[in-house]
Amino acid sequence: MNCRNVVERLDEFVDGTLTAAERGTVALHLESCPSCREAEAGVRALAARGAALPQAIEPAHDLWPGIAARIQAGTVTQGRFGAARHSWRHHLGALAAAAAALVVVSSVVTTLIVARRDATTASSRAGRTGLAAGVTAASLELAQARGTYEAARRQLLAALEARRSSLSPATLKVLDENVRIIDEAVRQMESALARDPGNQELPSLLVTAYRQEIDMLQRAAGLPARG
Amino acid sequence: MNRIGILALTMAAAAMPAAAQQRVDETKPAAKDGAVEVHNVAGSVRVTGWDQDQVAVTGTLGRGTERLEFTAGERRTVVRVVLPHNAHHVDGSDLEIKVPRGSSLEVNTVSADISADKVSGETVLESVSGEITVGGEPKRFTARTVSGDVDITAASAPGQAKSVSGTVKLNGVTGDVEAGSVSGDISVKGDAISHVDLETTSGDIRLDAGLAKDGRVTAKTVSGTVELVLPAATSADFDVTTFSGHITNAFGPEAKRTSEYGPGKELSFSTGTGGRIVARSFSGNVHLRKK
Repeated sequence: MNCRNVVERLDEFVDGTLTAAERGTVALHLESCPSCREAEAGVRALAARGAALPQAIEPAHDLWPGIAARIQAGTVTQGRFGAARHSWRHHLGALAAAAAALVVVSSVVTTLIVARRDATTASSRAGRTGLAAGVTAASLELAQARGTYEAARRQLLAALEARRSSLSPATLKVLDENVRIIDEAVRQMESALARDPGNQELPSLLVTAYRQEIDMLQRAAGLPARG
Repeated sequence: MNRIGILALTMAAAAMPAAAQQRVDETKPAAKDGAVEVHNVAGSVRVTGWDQDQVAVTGTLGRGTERLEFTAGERRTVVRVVLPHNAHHVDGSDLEIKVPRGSSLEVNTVSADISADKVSGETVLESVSGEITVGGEPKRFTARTVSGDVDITAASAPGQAKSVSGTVKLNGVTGDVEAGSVSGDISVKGDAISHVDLETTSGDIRLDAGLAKDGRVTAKTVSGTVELVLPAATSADFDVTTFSGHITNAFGPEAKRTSEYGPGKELSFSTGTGGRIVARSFSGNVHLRKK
């Protein structure tokens, strides 16, 4: 099992869902591979962070402006991922962290979908707690999911940018075009969600698009030279 | 010329890239259920399982290739086409590789096409722009490309097939399969689908298949068209929604609007117990058709 195979299995390794044989193989590899141990530590840290997320958010009425400002400034989870680094060893850690971030995104949005089923209740709760008009617990949770996705996306786009010269123009053209396709899809769905905030299906489709983009960028960052 | 001079010339010649195509024909012993790893940049890699405890490599190395690395450990065999550093004009290498049927297989290429057949271990095939074809019955398959097409005919294997812009085709698949593409289309054919998850952003999804007992199909797209062609006697719960696309249904009820003011539509009905068909789209149309 090589580093790529191991990194792909780290989520399941950390969750304890691998078969005994696979778990033994991954553990053996980790003993002798510092970069994969670093990636494993990143996954464990993010998994712990995801597990610590609350099932529901009861925000203080003055929470939203701060979160909105941080999202606007692109600093929601910047401290978690750190500054861009370009060595392969750090790419591995960043990719594993990005993958784990998507686990967090998915879990947050799952919570969000459940929360949206009771959007009316959330709205009335918002009213009771004095939230600004249109701001609900569900919208705060979506903001959190979006912030995590954006941070993972930024990190992976930086990794791709750092190795553009090693990829063929044809591959770069395909990647750039498909990043554009997904970004446009995300933009349209977010715009639709703004018009129809109670829609129960849009968050799930949004997460699918988020995951496809992160998956594509992860693969792009790991493509072989001349690819 | 003295001996040192002759030795130096011999070593230099050995280290030089091949000026012309080179034939390859090598065989090494291998474990029945060991791992085989293949790396080739351009050309083709064709792997077939056989009933011998050996890995055999035949084919040609392209002009400009440095050498073929072919090493066999107790449990792992590596076949690698080595190119000179800073190589520019190197022709593709075409490799035909026979491996013990029970091997697990990992192949990585840049533009080389990959095909794998009759290999029963876990099979992981990745290419940037090459096409990938998987047949036989691997324990599990993973096929990934950026722009290359993926064609899976591995009948009962579970697995994952993904591309960015390439077409993904699943033919005769009955195992649990996940397929995805951003802008490429996905096509699924089979008689008894047990569980498939299909996702695209703008690519179309077309499934022309029957369901196994308790079969599950999930198709999600943002702007692609979803077309599900099923036997008239399909017994399943159907759950279809679209935010702004259209839904057509040959199985009975018409889609309802989800809101008096918005363009969204939903369709939920049952033709019997057992199967479940779920389709989601943002702006793409969804069509349920009878075979």
